[in-house]
Amino acid sequence: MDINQQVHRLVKIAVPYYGTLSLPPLGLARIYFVAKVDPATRTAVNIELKVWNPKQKPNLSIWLRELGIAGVICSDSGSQYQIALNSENIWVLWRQQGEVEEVVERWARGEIEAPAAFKCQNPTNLWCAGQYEAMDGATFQQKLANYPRF
Amino acid sequence: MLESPCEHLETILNSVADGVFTVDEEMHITSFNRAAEEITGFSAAEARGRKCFEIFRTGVCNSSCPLREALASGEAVINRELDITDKNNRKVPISISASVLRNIRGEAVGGVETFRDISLITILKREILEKYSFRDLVSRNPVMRRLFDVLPDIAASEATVLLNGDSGTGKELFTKAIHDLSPRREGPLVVVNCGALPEQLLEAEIFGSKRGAYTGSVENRPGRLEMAQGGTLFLDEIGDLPLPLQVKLLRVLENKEYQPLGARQPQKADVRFVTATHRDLEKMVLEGQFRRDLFFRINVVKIKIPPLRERPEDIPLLVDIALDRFNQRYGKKIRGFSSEALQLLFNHSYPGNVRELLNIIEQTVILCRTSEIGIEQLPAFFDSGAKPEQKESSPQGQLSRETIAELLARHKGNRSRVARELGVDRTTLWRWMKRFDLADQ
Repeated sequence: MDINQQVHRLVKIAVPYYGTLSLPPLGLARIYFVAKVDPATRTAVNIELKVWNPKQKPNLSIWLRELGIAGVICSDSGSQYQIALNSENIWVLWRQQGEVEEVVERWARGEIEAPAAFKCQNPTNLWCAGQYEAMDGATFQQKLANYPRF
Repeated sequence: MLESPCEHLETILNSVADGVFTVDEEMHITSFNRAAEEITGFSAAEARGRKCFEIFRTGVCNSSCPLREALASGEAVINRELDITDKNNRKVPISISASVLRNIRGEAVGGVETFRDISLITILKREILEKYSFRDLVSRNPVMRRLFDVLPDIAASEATVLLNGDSGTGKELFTKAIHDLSPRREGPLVVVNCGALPEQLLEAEIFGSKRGAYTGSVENRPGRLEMAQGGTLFLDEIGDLPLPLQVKLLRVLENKEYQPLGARQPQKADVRFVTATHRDLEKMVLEGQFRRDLFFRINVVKIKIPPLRERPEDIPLLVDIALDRFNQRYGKKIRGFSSEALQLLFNHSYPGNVRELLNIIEQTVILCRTSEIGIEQLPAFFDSGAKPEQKESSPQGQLSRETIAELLARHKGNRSRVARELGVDRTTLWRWMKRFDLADQ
């Protein structure tokens, strides 16, 4: 095994397929892009489509957490669903327009304004452990320096 | 101040986001909440006392009214989608649930209907579709979007275009877009499939023939080149063009002249060429199967169309378009695919590309009797979880000889049925059969 080869932990970001997290009046979006962002290069290295099945997993935020999602970026103007996402240690950025790769990399480069304050309560979540501020781009830059490599 | 029970109920109903109304046994509206007012445009005062069909004006009021169904069967009707006509005569798509209203003794005294305005979703989907549509093509894949961006410039030129892409990726739609955007749009767009005809017939088909050129040639017959005069000639599957015809075609491209079979004088060709193939022409040139000079002549502008498996982000868009199209064609009101079915659609590798996906959706729409397509309506290979690439064996990513032979035997040689099952068109199937020496079957 090449010990010099470092494998970066990728950050998973979910972006609803139609942009909006909520699709009134039917409820929450079912189709999501899941982008894996490499903190080292600040690029989306892989984007795939995932379908949330409300019959199998009635709670969207739990499903996203189980997928290992760190944050959601969507085009809605904000909703109370943020509480449910935050309780699963998932941050959410509202009012973001553009192609999935574009918004995810904009976030990774620290060009997106800070979202509403988000307190991560899960010390086992390596990405947000000890994170008591919004996971905005600037914080992301700061975290990069101390981010663990595997 | 305390409200009376009646006022309290009205307050509750008015705070519900869904439209709610009740009818008596004669279908007269007896209550109508605030959301119902907003969705229909009628006030509660206008609606109360009137027959519900006067307010909702759907296409199914007289034939399959959900409320009448609920009253007749005693069973609730859940989430049925239909269009109503609002007060301003606009169509509003709604989702309806209806059930029987009973009095304290359990006797039916009317019905209650809740309904949701789903036009926001329809609008959102339409906006997304418009955003990612280009002529008859649709994609949100970055590679495809870049192609859409350069297509008008390519179309404006007279350059010969070589489209390279697997069967079913939409080469003909690209050609149509190029033609429609070009200065030749008023002229004809003529298509020749070079893989669909034997050499002799193909020659006459492209270049035309004069009376007496060959046995049975009793009249002058214009070729596709002549038919495409002033327009665009699309040579599909040019990789299948026999070598002698490649020479003739090269002459047309170089000199803008051609000679119909049996003609003494050459004719002028004022035609723009668009060619397409799923084959690797460069490799064919190296192997001596395709003329190098012709390759350079047609390879002026090359467009590589990615297969659907490389752009799964297009699947939901294509599903939306196909559902709209087939709902209209077959008079259905199917809302979409279940989450399980949708995930299977995403997992599939689509050897037949977009055409295969559209065929699958058409088949499922025909078979579906509910408002949602489930996994039970998908073809059998989805259910087993087996991916078609497991069956593939040839380097071109097509099916093995045995598989095609087995399918032909199962369908008693009916090529249309075999092509449908494989999600390819008959010409592609015929080409595969020819390659595997199955053409005589």
